[in-house]
Amino acid sequence: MHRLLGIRVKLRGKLTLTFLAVGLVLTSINVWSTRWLQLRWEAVVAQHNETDRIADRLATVANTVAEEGFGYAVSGDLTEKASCLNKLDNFDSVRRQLLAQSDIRDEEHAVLVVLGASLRRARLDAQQMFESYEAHGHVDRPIFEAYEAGMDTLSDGVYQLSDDIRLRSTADNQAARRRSDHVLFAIATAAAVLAISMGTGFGIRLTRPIFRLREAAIRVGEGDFDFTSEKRSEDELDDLTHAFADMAANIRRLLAAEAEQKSRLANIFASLGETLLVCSPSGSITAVNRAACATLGYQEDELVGKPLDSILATVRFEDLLARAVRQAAEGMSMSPSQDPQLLRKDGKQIAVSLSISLLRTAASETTGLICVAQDLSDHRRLEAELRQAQKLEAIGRMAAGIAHEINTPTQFVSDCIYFIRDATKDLLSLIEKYRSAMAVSGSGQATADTLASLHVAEQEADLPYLVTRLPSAIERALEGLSRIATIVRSMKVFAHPDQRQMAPVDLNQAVQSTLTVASNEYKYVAELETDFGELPQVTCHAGEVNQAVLNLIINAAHAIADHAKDGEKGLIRVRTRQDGDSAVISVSDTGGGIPESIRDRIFDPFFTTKEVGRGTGQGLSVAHSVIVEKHRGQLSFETERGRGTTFEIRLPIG
Amino acid sequence: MAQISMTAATRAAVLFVDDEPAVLEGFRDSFRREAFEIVTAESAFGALEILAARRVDVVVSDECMPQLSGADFLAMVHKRHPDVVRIMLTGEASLSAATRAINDGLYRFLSKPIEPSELCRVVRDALRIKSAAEARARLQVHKGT
Repeated sequence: MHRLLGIRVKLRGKLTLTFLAVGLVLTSINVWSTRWLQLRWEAVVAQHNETDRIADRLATVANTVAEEGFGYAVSGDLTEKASCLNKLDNFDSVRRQLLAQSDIRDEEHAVLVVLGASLRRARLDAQQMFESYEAHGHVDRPIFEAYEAGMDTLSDGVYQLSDDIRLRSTADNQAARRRSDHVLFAIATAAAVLAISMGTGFGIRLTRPIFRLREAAIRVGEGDFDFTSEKRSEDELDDLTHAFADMAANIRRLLAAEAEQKSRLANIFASLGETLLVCSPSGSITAVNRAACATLGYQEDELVGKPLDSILATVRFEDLLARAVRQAAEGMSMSPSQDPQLLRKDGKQIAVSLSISLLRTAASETTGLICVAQDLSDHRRLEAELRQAQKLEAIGRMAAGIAHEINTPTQFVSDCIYFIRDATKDLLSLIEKYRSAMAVSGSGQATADTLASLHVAEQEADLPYLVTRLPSAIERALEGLSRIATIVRSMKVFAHPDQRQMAPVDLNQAVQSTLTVASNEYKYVAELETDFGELPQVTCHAGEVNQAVLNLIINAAHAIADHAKDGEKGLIRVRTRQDGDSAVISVSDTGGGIPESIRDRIFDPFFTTKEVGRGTGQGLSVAHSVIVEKHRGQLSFETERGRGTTFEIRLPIG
Repeated sequence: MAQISMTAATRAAVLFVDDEPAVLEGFRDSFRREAFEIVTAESAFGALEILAARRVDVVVSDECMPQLSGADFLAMVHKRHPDVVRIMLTGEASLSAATRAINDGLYRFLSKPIEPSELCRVVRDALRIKSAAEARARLQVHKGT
């Protein structure tokens, strides 16, 4: 059935062939049976009609015979003897014809036989009658009456028989028709049964794949995708089954991929360090991650279902939603909002950076709000730690310079003190000699010897040298001590170790202290030019601003050192001025400028062009963080290759 | 007294190099009675000029100076005037500078602040070594001839 003459038969072909076969069988059965029955019926009817016709002729002959016979008798014309006898013979021959008919029944047969006997008798009577007439010229009454009676009997029998045959033949015809109807019905029934069984057989064969498909569909519908099909036939249904099996396999694969995707998302969701909250458009929390529970101090099942407002301390859900909608309309990505506070279960408020975005279906229908909150307490602590680390690094770097700055004056101060000590010893011994000379001269015995010995003593003490050098030695000692004091004081002003909060600060003094502390960083490569303008007190973290200025100065010194030729000194210009509501500190150098390719990266943490030991890439990053993030100021720069760079710090005065 | 009256030609000379004039002034005061002549320079280039112009036995140099660092300066001295004994006296030197100076045959590496008597002792030792080496060299020249 699957292959016909080696050609693959498709479903349509199968159906066509099946219908064709069944139709052909049914049609031929019906045609042939009808034809056969019709022929049979026609034969029966023809037979009966023939019998009828003969019976009618018999009756006609009988009638003629009777009438003519009577006529002879009545007219007394008995010359027609031969004709009469001929008629009677004819009568008998018709009777014999009828007797020969195949459909003549036994009783009819018997009647015809009796009729034959009566006819023979009637012939004898007729012959006797004609003989009597010939002999006597008239017919004896008894003879005529016998003939007449015989003829009556004969014609009565013939009429009776003729009617009977006609009636019977009609009935037979009807019976034959009924019989043929029955046979036709039986054949039709058989054909129908055959057709049904053929159809069913083919149907079962054809529908078997459909049932397999149906079973598969039910299993797939129930979620069982472990369904495979084996190749059984090669029609479209089988193709469909295979396609279905492939579909089930694809669904199985997709489901597995989706499950993996889901578990991956769940892992990401769970392992996300930031607090993640998802809430419905009505504002109740629908999902949270582990970090959210840890940050807010709740269990997951306590948070889910809670209104978001119950954990928001400084903003309302409606505002967040409105902002997210606006954000989405303007096509912006998630942007952190300014430090809202979240409310912990224990009532404590925590500052966070909150990013929000709408949760949407593919059809842009809003199904919720995603909030990602970053705990700023940690962030701020890390920022502070980074700044502290950089400060320590800067101080470490400067320690050598500061040590030099202190050790050099210490050296000459101590030299001076040693010199003054030795000179004092010499002067004291000289004074002793003067005093003894005075005692001698007081007694009026001053001599030239005394004066000479005093002169020698003065020579030994190197008195002219001491007289000219001692005052300058004392000045130098004082100057050295003041330099040491300045450096120590500047270090304190620079570091501001005791200032935790923002406080009003004299920025000029702060910048000056920074320049002092850092002098060893630049003084061998650059001249320093300062131009301090009038500045009001600026509220800031002085230590951190100093650190930012220091980083700019160190960078300026490095830029000049890298650019300078043959130990030629560059120039660092530090200016302060007031510009509206801002205090401006600018640091210019005559270095090589910043290459264009790195201009947008210089504020990135750990970005550096310096070799190990000279910079760690944190200076500008920390300066930016201090000025821009902590003080809401600005840090900008202008640079020209080969000419130098100017960094400008702007701090709000308020 | 006899020492002071020695002629300049025979007196040993010590060159102090420091960018801080007060330090040089201090050394002048401290060593005014020593037998050696005190020569000072406020920069490395100035010191090189002096070295080129006259005899110097010992150089005492600071490390942190503009234009030319003490280590670089002493390396140049070692190259141009190998007989000069070199001493580094520094307020603070990087490890690499100190290592380099010592590897170049530096006589002493000293830290500021140093007591004048201690510095004086080191300089005297240096001068003694220098004169002993010169005597040995003279002897060998004499033997050779």
